[in-house]
Parts: sequence; C-alpha cells; structure tokens
Amino acid sequence: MYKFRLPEGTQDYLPDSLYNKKKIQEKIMSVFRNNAYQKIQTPKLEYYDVFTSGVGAVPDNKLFKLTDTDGSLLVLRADMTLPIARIVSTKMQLDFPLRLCYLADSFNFITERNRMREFTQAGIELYGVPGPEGDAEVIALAIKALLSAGLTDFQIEIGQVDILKGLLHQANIPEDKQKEIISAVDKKNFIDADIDPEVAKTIDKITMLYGDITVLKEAGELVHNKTSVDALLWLFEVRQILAEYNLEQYISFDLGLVNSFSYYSGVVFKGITRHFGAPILGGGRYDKLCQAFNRNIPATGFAIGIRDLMQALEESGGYQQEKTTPDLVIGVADSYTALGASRKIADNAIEKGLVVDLLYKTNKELTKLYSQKKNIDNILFVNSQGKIEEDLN
Amino acid sequence: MITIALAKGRLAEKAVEILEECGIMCDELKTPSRKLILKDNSGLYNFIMVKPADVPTYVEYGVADIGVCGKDTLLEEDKNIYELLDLKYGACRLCVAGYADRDFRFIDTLRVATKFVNIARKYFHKKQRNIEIIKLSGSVELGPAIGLSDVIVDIVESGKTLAENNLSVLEEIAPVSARLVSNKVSLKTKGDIIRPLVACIKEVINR
Repeated sequence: MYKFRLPEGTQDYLPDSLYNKKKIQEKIMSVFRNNAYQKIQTPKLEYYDVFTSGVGAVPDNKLFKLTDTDGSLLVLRADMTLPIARIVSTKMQLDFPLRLCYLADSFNFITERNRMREFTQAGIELYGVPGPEGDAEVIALAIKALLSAGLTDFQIEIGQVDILKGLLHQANIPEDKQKEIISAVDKKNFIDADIDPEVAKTIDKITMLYGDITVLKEAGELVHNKTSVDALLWLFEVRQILAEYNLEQYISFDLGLVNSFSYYSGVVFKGITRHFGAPILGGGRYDKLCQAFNRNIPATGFAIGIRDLMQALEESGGYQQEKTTPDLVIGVADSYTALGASRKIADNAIEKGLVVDLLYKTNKELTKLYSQKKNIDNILFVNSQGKIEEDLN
Repeated sequence: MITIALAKGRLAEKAVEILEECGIMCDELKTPSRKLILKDNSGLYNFIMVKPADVPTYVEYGVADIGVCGKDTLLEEDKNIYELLDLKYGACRLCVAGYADRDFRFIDTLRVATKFVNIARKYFHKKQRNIEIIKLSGSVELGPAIGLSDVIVDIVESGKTLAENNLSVLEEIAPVSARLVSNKVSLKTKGDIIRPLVACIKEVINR
C-alpha cells in the first residue's frame, strides 16, 4: 500500500510553504536577472552519457536511470551545470561573457544525510571570463543572493584546488594515492598514505589553513612549485577585487577545500552559516567541464540549495513565514442574482489588485465565521437580491 | 556555546579526563546519572551522551559540533565530517578472524558475521571476493563456533575473546583508536571556541 505516502527524499509543498519558497526564489532570481544572467530551462530527462563523460562524471549510484523506448539509457538530471555545459557547447552563440541562470529541480538517486532526492537549486553559470574577475563576480553574486533572501550572518569560504594539485604533481604522487590524499584533505584528516613525509607534512599544514587573509600569507611560506604559487596569487587577486566591492566581511578562506576535486579547476567556494549544519551554497571554476562536449570554454558558477537556505533562514529567526491569505471574502446568497452581482464586485476588486475569496450558498453568519477562521479582515455579503451588505453584525 | 557528543562508555571516561586537562570541568559528567544532556560548570559546553555508532550522525547533522568516537565507527558510517585528531587511546585493530587451520580461500561465497557491515563489504569487494554478510549486533565470535559464518569481521583488542573461542586473527583491516571529529560548518562558524580546544587537546595527547 504505497498510495498514501511519498518516496523517500521527496516532499509536497503545501500552499503556505510553497508561497514562502517562491518568494525566496524570486528574490534570488531577480538578483541574477538584474546582473544580466538569462534564465534557461532544460528537460528533466537527459541521456545517461551527458552525466557520465569527462571530468563532470556523476557516480553511477547517484543517477536515477530509466530506459527509453529504443533501449537507450536515460537519467533524471543530477544537476544543472552539465546540461548547461551541453547547451553552451552545442547550440549557443558564443559571445562572451555568456551569463546563464536557472531555477530547477534535480535528482539524486541515493538517500544521503538530510539531502532530498528531488531538490531545488537556484544557480548561475558564467562562461568566457577566464580571470579572477570572473570568480569575484560569481562570489559577489552569491553574497548578494543570500543577502536578498534575508540571511545576514554567513560566510563564503574560498579555496583553490590547484594549491593541492601543484603539490601532488610536484611530488609525483600516483593516481590511486592521490584519491586517498584528497579524501583525507576533505576530512581535514592527517595524511596516512605512504608518501614522502615532507610532502605529507606540507599537505597536512595546508589542510588546516582556514580563516582570514593571513592563511594565504602562511601558505605562501609553505608552497614553492609554480602551480601552487599561481593558485595562491589567484586567491589574493579574487580577495582584492572583493575588497574593492566592499564585500570582504563576507569572505574567508579554507585552503583544504576540495569540493569534488576532478570537476573543479581553480577557485572553489562554499556558503556556510551557523544556522545550518551543512553548506547552503557551493560553486567554483570548472574550465575543463565543456571538454566532454568537445569545447574548451572557461566557466565558473554556483548553486544555492533552496531548502537548506529556507531552513537556515527559519533557524536564524529573522525570517517571518507568511501565509497566503486572501484580502477580501465575499459571502454569496443562494440566487442567480447574487452570483452575478458578486462576480462583478469580485472582478472589480481583483482589478484593483486584491485577492478575493468567494463563499457560495451562504448567509451573513457563516461568512463571518469563515473570515474569522481564515483571519481575513475585509468581508462583504451579497444578498439574494444582489445587494451588498457591508455590516455583518 | 558548543555541543560535544560523547560515546557512552570507556571512550567517554577518557575523553572527560582530557577535557578536564583543558580546563573544562564537568561535575555532571562524573556523577553517574541517566541524563543524556549535560552541561559543564561554565555553561559554555553542552554534552550529549550517545551510542558510539551514532556520534558521526549527530556531528554530521550539526546538532553536535564536535564529538569523540572510534575510528571503526567512522569507517563504518563514512559520514561527511572533519576528522581532526587521533586521540591515540582506545587502540585496537579491525580484523578478519576465523579458525586458523581452515583454508577459506577456496570457499566461493564467504559467510561473514559482523557488526561492521559496510567495512566488511568494502574490504572483501576490494579483494574481489563474493561474500554473504550476516549482520549481528554482538558476540560475533559465535558465528564460526556454531557454523553460522566462515569468518567474522570485528574489533580485536587483546585477542583474548578470540583465543577463548579458538579463533585467530587471519587478516588485519585497519588500526583503530579514538578520534576527535567536527561538523564541517561548526569548525568555521564556532571556530573561536573549537580551535583553541582542539589545540589544547592536541597538546595533552602529545604530552
């Protein structure tokens, strides 16, 4: 008997919570829109191959799979970044900078932590801006989007995956050990792998460097290979630009931030707040993502988890859940004349911008009770002769 | 204020000793009671007493900011949390054990009795072995003894329980000890409390 409940990791949004969700989404989307990000829509169904080629390959167990009528394998999209990379690579005129945004539901096959299996994200993708000003733009928009939604005490923590990549490359660490090391770094765990102890020590130190700009300076003392040093300089530049934008107070650094390591190719960042136990936003630079579609286009972007953000807002207390209450109730007596008259009154009120609720085949007493229950102050009653009675007492 | 999740039992006792050395005094923790939420004398630290296997869960969700639990639990639960320090105590080994005189290399589907379902599955899959996992919640040594399983995967401390049941360690999977873990967001947003505490604990255990 499955008809009374929902599959794990999915949820219904009832009118009030949907109203609040949409309001937050609209605030975020208008920040994107005002910054020239054009909204894009893609199908929820895509070919399996879109999500399993190149550096952006999604692990098989995270993909919802279906079979098409011709036997080909389909998936429910696991995110929006890959479909947008597909579109940009195959069917868009490439006049850079290309700014795209989305508000979309994606799917995750396995149940993880308190993550939904169907989840809404609002995000942007900035194509064709290869320098730090591109990273600074998306980070600035991440900050503005969160502020617009009403969250104030948050941090965007920024890292650069090339710092670690440079160290691994310099030390000639084989692939399989790299994976082990990256997973240790992600857990801020000490390196247990059998590698040069000096390299391990440096990586351990880098992993624990998080905080304000001083960590960048400290890292400068630790790394000497070109890739890592360039990565650090890149972070300095991004920070400098964000300082010019007067957004310095919202950023911090974590040089042990690896996100999904293969996917990202430079600056990575996460949005955190003490009101939620996991990041509410994630993003970074993924210059190699389009290679899966035979293109080479620098790109960066981020996505906000709407449900996580809503929970953080609720927890932060500064956010009022609103109810979708109509502005006016019209009680209608049981006659054709009353119906005709009430429709006219309702249409007039609607034209003035009011939300009007009609109650049929009723009397004054019931209209009053109904409006009290729904907490609506403005009430009218239209009697069977089609006359308005405003005083219901 | 931060919340610390402690695994009920021996690991907690030792953790309390270390915390005391770092100046966190908690009389409530030392008086036996059934309270599950405790406060230290300063009111700056909350303690929750939870089942060992649940520590990573509380920390991952962020309802506890930091916690102390065994490496075995971390390997089994595989949560998205920071693993900040090896506290060095509670040392033992995760092992495959069975009858030393029986050759289980040629059994097609090896029957494995264990509490550590995920660890066992991962370990044997890596070795390309077909296995049947039999989940037990304790006294796993009974498995081979009464013919329920061919081998067991369990924690071995002194090896005494194994020896008394005529079992021996066949393979070692990983060394285990107590770890200090942290929620990934808390470490940053409550760093002013957590960072000095971690630094102090590190000093105490390296003494």
